[in-house]
Amino acid sequence: MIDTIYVENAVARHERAENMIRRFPDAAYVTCDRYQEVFNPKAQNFRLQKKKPALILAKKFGASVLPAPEGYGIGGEHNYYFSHMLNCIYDCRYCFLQGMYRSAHYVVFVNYEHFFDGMAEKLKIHAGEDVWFFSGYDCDSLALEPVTGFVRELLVWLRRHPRAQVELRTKSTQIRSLFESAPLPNVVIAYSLTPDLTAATLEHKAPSVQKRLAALTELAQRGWNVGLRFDPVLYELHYQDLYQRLFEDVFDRVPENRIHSVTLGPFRMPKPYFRNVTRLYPDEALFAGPFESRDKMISYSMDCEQQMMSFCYDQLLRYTAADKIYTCSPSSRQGVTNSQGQSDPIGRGDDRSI
Amino acid sequence: MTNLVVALQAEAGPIIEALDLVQDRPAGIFPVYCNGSLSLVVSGIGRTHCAAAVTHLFHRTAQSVDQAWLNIGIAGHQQAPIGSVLLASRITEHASGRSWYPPYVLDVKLLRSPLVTVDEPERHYPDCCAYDMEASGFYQIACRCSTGELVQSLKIISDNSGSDLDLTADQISLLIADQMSAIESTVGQLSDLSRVLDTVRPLPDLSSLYLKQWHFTVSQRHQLTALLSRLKARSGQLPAVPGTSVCQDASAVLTWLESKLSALPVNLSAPQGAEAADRVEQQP
Repeated sequence: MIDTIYVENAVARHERAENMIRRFPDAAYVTCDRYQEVFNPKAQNFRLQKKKPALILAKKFGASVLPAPEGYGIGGEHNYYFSHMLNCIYDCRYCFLQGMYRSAHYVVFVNYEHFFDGMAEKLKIHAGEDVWFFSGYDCDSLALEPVTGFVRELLVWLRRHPRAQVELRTKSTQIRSLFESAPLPNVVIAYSLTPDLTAATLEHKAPSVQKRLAALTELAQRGWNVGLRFDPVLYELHYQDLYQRLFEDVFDRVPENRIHSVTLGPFRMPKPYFRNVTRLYPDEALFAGPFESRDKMISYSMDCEQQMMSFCYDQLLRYTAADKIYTCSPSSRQGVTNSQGQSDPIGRGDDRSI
Repeated sequence: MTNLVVALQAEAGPIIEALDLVQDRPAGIFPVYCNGSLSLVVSGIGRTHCAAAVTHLFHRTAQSVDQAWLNIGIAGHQQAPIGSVLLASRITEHASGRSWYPPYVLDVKLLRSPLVTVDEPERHYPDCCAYDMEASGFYQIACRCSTGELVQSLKIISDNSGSDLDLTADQISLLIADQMSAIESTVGQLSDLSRVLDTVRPLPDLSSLYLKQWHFTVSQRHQLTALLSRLKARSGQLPAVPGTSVCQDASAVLTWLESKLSALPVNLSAPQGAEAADRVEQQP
């Protein structure tokens, strides 16, 4: 899978870097001073690099834990995110990463303690309160776990810091490392889900929805808190049938009492990222969809978005309690609110898919 | 178009012969050889000459951006055996200390090694890497003409510690000729890769039928191209061009195309053959 490993000179002798390098004995090993020399140059094509992404091992400097965007959360008051890795091993066509980065290489920051220290600092700032940390904003939290071992170390840290609440966002079936530990009440394993057929068209190289559901069910049965992330919700002619079937399938298999939260989010992407992805994939039907430009974002028309969100919200209420459901953009919150005739039944948003 | 850049006529000889290249006339400031989809320029020794030759070839063949570029030549190496072939994994310019990292997305089974571009022949090979005199000039300029994945440097080891640096033209030609299969394989893969980008460029004739019949402002032309691209992406084919009785002006054409687009049902859940093949789950 990995043909080239770039390593910053500063971490070339780091134990974690050495372990990762050992996993790919046939890869070309190339040293560099800073990962940006490899990751940031202009003359790169994300689509071509996706054919054979390299692994870049680097050291994270500066702020490692950042405030989550406004409205991002699943019920907590203090919300932050961190990225021990940049880019994802899957190739989902709607993903904003392909519009945000020039390179498709995977950057792994091997100084994990830097992230743990960053989280500890936030816990200190919010003394006595729970603090939420979201992993999986710039990567899939679990997909490269057999190589990085990040989550394994994170769980050890979380056991000692029960006020730290972590969401691990994923599509991966790499859950073995979670089974090495007893379930932690302060961790939510959140799976991104789209209807089977849509996933088959758009989520290249990702596990099928059925495989994700099997992993999700196993985690729930073993006592882990799980999250369901229907984000982005994508419009198509038969979206109602597709999402109805998906919800039925999910709630048929996943025990409701282990479901921590459910989020809904319409497709949305910052304009410059959208421009980049349509240049990369002008032949992609998704990007020729019925979009409009609103507040520096490309999204569905307000009407379309609200109809979709209302429909999905109503369907979800058949299976789970309203206080577990969160939506992601102010406009969609409003749509759901109107459909329910309540002031704000669904709480905070979650802007993950942008 | 796939572009080959070599420093010496002795290096170019076996390639010209194997790939049936013919000299482009009238001769310009650098000799250029072509055969339709391939072109080769002989730059002379040194990174400055090489950079200039890339520019010359780019303009001479009036190319679009994002074509394949391959620098081929001999190089020294501290350890690699003479006659072996490698692709540069990092190109460092000794004079400036700057480095570049050609992204590698090919499937050729070649050794990959760091490469240092020096201004004088390297006789001591201080580090475990290859030494040449052109690659940094080549890479810097070729990356202005194309994306890094399509810009590679392939070197054949002609000398190492303990060997004679002064090779004859025949010896150089022989080294290159012996590695023609590796060269052809790399050229083939780069060409295939560049075709991926060819398919994503808007077809120039997509809008030509419309431009012939109506006058479009620059802004309207952009809208026209965008609408036609979206229609093609959504339905796979374009509607027949309306008559001038249906659309009196460009503005009416755009409205007509928008109505065609919004009438198309959105169906994302229909995997095509190639897409379906992509459904192999990625494993770390």
